[in-house]
Amino acid sequence: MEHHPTIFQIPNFLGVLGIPGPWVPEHVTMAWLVMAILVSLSYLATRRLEAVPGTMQNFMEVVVEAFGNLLEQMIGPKGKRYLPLIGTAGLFILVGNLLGTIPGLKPPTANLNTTGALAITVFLSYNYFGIREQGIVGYLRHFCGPVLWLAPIIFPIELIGHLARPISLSIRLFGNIFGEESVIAILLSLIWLVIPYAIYLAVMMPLSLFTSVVQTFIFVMLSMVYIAGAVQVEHEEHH
Amino acid sequence: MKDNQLQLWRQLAGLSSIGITFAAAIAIGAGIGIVLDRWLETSPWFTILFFLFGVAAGFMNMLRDLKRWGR
Repeated sequence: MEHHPTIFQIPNFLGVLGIPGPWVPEHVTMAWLVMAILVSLSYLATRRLEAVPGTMQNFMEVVVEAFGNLLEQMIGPKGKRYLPLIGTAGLFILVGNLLGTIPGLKPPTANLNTTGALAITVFLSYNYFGIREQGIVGYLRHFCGPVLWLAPIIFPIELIGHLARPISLSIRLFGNIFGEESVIAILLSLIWLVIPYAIYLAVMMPLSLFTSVVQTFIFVMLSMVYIAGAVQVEHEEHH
Repeated sequence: MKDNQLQLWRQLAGLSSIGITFAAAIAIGAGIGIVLDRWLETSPWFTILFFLFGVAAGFMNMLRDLKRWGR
């Protein structure tokens, strides 16, 4: 497929680290752009904190509240402890996905490296949370199943089952966003036929907005389910 | 968010991950087996064993997800 460069390109100053090419890779540039957007939004919202919030502060409060409520519903009263991880991942993915709808920009989540990094972060975090809540022995005991002599068989099975989680998380997000992005790129490369442009505006634009939000939601939801499963395994066995 | 709406989104998230998790578990199992065989030069025993572990892990994840979300 034809390569469409993005608007922003940063000269590759990381050559000493062995990163090839004249430019910083596209998805890294876009990830930095997302970070810049989020940092400046947060700065604008918290610059002057007031009891009666202004527009920006109000907006960010609503967003943070939404994540907090979701966490409390999914994980329980202690759920807000995980707000920094889940909120950051969710906002990063959402803004990243939505970048794809702006012509000339590409979503950083359309690259397996970005989604892989997110998924591995979630994977390491929920294991850490589980160990922190139950101690390393208590956490590993849940890998061994209820019967002791079956443990040598159950343990590798559970381990493989857990290792499959970050893979499914990263590949689902990457696949959805990359596929959507490829279809849009092909439609836009045929733009002189006029009809593809109509398809782009009428079908792909709403669809890509929808996928962006839904994929963010699914990622956040599954992360919460994994954290809940690691933190309160006893609760799960009762019902 | 309302409770039944939340339940719907949870089901969407959980059920949409069944297929890919199943495939990923088998791939990881086979991958671990192949690596162990290369390392210990015991081809093909670890590949077979861990492939079966992978299939078992895939089915276990699938049954667990279905039990939790398939209502």
